[in-house]
Amino acid sequence: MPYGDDKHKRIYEALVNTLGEDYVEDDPAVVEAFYRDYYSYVSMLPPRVEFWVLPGSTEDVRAIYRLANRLDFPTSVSSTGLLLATCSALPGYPYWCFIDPKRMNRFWIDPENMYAVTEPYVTIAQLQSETMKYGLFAGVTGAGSQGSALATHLGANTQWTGWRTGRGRSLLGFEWVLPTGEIVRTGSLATGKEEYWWGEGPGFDSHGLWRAGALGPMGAFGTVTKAAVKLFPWPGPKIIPTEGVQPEKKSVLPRDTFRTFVYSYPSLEACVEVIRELAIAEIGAVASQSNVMELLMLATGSREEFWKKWHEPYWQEQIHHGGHMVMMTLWAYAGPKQMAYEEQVLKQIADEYGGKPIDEREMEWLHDSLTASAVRDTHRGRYMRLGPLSGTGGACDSLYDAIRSIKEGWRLKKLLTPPMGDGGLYDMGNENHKMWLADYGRIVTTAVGAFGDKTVEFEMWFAKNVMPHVVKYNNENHIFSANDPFDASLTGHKYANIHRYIAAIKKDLDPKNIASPGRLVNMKNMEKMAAQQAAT
Amino acid sequence: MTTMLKDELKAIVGADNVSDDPQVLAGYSSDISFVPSCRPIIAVYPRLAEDIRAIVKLAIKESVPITPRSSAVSFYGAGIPSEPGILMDLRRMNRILEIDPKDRKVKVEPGVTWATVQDALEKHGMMVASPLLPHRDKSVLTSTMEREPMLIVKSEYNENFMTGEVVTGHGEFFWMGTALSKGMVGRANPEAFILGTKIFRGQQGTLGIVSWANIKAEFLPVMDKLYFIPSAKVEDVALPIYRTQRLMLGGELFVLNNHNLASILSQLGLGAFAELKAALPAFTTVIVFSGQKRMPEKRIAYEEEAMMGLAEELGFKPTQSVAGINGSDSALLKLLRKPWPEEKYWKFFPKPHFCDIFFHAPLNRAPEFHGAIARVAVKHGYPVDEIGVYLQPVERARVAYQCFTFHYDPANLVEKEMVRELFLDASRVVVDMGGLFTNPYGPWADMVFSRAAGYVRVLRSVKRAFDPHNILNPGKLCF
Amino acid sequence: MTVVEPKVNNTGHRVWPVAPTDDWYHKYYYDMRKVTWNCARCSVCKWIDSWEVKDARFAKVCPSHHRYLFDAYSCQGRMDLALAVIDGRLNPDNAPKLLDVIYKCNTCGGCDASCKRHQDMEPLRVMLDLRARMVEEGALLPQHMPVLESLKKEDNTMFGRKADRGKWAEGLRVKDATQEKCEVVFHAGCAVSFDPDLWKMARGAVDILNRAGVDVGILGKDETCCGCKMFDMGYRGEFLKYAENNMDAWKRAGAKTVVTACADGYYAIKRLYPEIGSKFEALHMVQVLERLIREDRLRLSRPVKMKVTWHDPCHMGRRDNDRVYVPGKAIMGLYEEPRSIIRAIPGINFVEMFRIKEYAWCCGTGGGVKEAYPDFSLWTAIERIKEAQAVGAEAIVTACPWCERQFMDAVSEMGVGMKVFDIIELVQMAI
Repeated sequence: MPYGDDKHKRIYEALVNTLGEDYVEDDPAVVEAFYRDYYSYVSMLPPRVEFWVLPGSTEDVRAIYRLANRLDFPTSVSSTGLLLATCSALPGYPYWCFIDPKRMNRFWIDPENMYAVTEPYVTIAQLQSETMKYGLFAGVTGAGSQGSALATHLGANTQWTGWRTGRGRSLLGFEWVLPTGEIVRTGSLATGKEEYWWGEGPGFDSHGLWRAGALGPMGAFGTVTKAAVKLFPWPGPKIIPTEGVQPEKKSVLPRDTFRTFVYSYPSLEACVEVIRELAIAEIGAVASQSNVMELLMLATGSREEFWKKWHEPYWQEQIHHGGHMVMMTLWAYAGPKQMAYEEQVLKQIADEYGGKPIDEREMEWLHDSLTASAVRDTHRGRYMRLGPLSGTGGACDSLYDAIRSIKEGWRLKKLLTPPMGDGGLYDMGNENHKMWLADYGRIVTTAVGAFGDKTVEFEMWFAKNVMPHVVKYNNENHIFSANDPFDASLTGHKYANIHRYIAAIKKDLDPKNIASPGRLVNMKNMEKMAAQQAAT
Repeated sequence: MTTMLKDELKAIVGADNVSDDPQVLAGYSSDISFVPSCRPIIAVYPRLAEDIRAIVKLAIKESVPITPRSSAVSFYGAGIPSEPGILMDLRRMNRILEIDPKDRKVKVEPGVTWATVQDALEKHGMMVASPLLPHRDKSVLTSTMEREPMLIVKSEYNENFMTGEVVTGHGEFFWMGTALSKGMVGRANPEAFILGTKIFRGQQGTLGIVSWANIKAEFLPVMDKLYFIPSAKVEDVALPIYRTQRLMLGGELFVLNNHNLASILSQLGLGAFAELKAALPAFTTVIVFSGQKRMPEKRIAYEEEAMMGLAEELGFKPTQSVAGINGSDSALLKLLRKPWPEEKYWKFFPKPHFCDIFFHAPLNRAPEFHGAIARVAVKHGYPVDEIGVYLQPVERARVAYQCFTFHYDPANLVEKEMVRELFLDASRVVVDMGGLFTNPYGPWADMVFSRAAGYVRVLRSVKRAFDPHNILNPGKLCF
Repeated sequence: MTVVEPKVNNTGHRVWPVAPTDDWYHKYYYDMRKVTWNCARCSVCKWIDSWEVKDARFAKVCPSHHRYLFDAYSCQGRMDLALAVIDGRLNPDNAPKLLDVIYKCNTCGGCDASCKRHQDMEPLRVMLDLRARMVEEGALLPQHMPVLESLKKEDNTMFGRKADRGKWAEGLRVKDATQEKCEVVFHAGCAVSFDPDLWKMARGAVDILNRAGVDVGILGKDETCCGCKMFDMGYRGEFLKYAENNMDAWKRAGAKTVVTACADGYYAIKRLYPEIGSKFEALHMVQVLERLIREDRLRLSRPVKMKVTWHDPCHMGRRDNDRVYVPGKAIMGLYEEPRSIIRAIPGINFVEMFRIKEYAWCCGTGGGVKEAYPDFSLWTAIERIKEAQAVGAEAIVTACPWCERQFMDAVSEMGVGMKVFDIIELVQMAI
């Protein structure tokens, strides 16, 4: 990085003049905190961002973008910074400025019309703590409730409660600063009123640029500075009850209103049929196809405890028999009779498909952790206790497509075993599959994986040996994985030339390519391809 | 030019599927809305997706705009060309390509109507969640693409457009959602990746012409119980709805004023319009409790009990009949999952034409909008008690679609002009008050987009990406 | 790459060993670089546990991150920094703000408590070891120099004169432990000894011990700093010097138990001194009070009609844990004792703040922050007073003189009427 050169100094001065000294940093000690997330081996790779700025308002974001256009420097943005790899500096783009909206932390709630308007640095936990006082609920994603409520609603937004509320469905009107510095307001905000309750249109829907993919556009279309998110009825207490001290803390939600059931089924196919039946019956607030690893991970407080439980005969038996489990939490919105009814229906379905309930004692141990986790938890962090989740499979399509996707994940895992899976570092058994269910099982995001060791060796090995297989399979079979590629220019030709459409929009909204360059679609690649095409 | 165009179109779709008959073309040039008429040069009826593609490529070559339409019915001007060009009528692409009870969806071509699809799905015990009494010949695809609100208010039922295939203004195929990914089998996920399916909803044919779509299909309940909740004034409507929805009760849920409900019931033969209207409460909320195959009576029972608990608390009185008509609940229930059964659409009563103003706004502002529109009606001399009002809560009443209907006789030019002025005036008031025309048809487009410079910027950017030659329905929305 | 061979168990399944059995902690868990490498940037360290968030305004656990906002000032940021230092990428010469980032941290351990919910990690230990490493390498924060001078010259961190150290006890009937044997030594601590506003707390403590018939003595002007601050600031040599000095003095007094009313002192004696061979029992006054009340040896009969809230001092709260963390074990501290004491006071109206026990918001004095960054330190305390106000408390009660002085200063700065009490004072009001 050309730290300290004239351009760097000029940019720094301009940023300080715009935002104030307290809110601009370029010291290596400060920017060092911003380059990695899940995988730490990137610590060995340059570059780092050069500037880190804290805007306090939409106008500040606007001003930063204007500066970026005038002085020609790249930017990226992230709220709580959970998935930094999507926002960190890329090689070949010096003077990278990271926009960190931590000062933008206001929100308000319209309880009657069930939505909340939030700025980027409000976590789901914060939002929920206030919405619950009104009997309302904001769903939490796999990233965890320490993630930004706004950011998690852009992109996949795969919520535990998405069984009912869908995937990527909870974003309403929002305010957005284009990379040119222009401000766009969508939905009910579009006509200049401070009305956030509707997100679509007018006309066709700009949500298609945001509320899609695993991660949304990753800042490539600008920064969302305020967004309204849907809230849903919450039949539980105003404050989440807790007892004990970390990491032995428990949260016991009232069992007359929240009850979790886990049934184990003979096969993956049986799981799918059960999920479909549950969907037709329209019961449950939380549903997912789960596995032994996940259940134990959510309920145990340490690696030791996890592995101890894992090796207990009962759980080994579950793993041995495939561990095809469906977990459902019933929320009795309308009272105890709803609970009784739904429980009866669930048991009926389970019986029909050969479901066996988890052992009563084990379920009693698991129950409160599973129930409370789906409401509010910091899942991603918890998964990390056991190491990075190293996936060989994953897709996001219909329920029946999930069978294809999971079986493919198993096949790849076996191909790469050892050292993954059997005989490898950590034996997860063959069954470690998970389905995130949304929209009554119409949309399923699958995952197949094992935990690896969080060492540089494993991470490098995984990146070099596993990922290429996954990418190759997806490419050969024309499958977009659940985590779409960071750069559509590489694969877009397989998918109706989607990269050209994205690039055309990107070029228009960000003519100088200063917003997350290289993300979503690499414009430099696109220019090269266009030049090559023109030459031929 | 027209002859050459005709010949080229014939070469694509066959002579039977092209028409320059003046009467035919006149039929496309206007509808009951106040959108200015414009006659297309030629009408073409593609049968296959490849036909659409070829026609678009031709249109690019000849620089001729295309106005696509899927529906035989057009009430709001969306299907009227803004410029003379090719009118692409997709009604002959009317196959149901697949009914998939496993993944609960139905794959339809654009010309599939509500009548066709509901009849076909009924055989599988399924349905597409319906709007309020759609016209039997209306395209299902049009309804879902245009985000027509459905009667079932559950969040889980919303977003019923899944994936699809579209021909863009480049004359290329594009697919929405996981339909883009050939290796996936479900084609069910609209939000798989940027650019998501949402881009195409509400596009009014300006980005691409849809050749097929996957739409959610739901299972028909096996048991239902319908209740009417009367309200003496619009101010009383919202609270019972908000509270029942906090408990996640009910499936279909909607509100009609006495004018609209009397119109429907009288056309079903349940009484005389005027008497019914006098007997009905000012507003009636209809709520349906339904059960699927597993112990439906128990489900209905607990929901009903929960509602009765609220009724006692809040002082509203649900009944199973309305205006003293026995069987009014079952009569209405029969209608709710099917299109309007009669030849003559219910809204063409009590006068031959109607004019709707519909927009979205929070339910608790319904009285405000009601009052404002009533005042505009009075100003223009339209009797307030002849306005049809339909409130459709969306997603557990998070917001409400609000529809105000004015009736007139088109042969009475004075009346027609009065309604036209009223329509424009009331529309402006709605926009000023913050109501949102999410589908800005006709004159709404200018009212909305003139205030939405930032949003227009983005729309035009997407438009240029998908239709760089601006041949797809130019003049619609903000293009 | 390491591949661990499984064994086959009696159900025929392959079983991996759970953890090494020899020196398991250091070889398996605490490798400084391993901990920094394991940080996955989940950002949980910036917040209290998500289940505990009751009010959006009071959801943060890290004062440093809340104040300075850049992620570098969070535990996660310091993990990145530590990794960079260990790997040689950063040092004070090529990163001018390195020491600033390291030291703008109260070492309160809130991040550590949050992290342990998810990971079997020791991020606080890394941060403390990083400081020690900086000091070892001669990278000293200039703002620490006056404190070090004061210690060197006067054996305290308060810039007071050593000769004045025992003044708080003037007129008090208590043994001079330098002259007489006693079973228990009461360690007043630097914060109390040189702050006349706080003397009443120490005097109250001795009074209570006397009433309970405890054979207690004090070292008076011969008492020296416990060394806790020095440890937290990274000056382990200084810490060791004072620890050894104190242990010698207590040994000479024949004491077996050391009681203090200072959380820092309690932590040092209870948790740090054993690592250098101490066998002294360490008690905080809240433990003594709780026991006396429970055994009915101290009767609280006078009503105290006040709405009070309790502040958990970090060093007797979440930091009061084994230095060698046992993964999965609760991060216990002296949480219940003070609550039990307060509840025993007739007429009291006790309300909890939003962030309590292992998630208590720090008062701002720890880690050398008060000495090096007084503005940040005071800001932290003001945030806590705001929280006390938010729950409607008239008074904030605690059991550490550092916290008390902070809160008194914060209240004065804010110009509000919140009262600040040590729990001993509150108890005395009820006797």
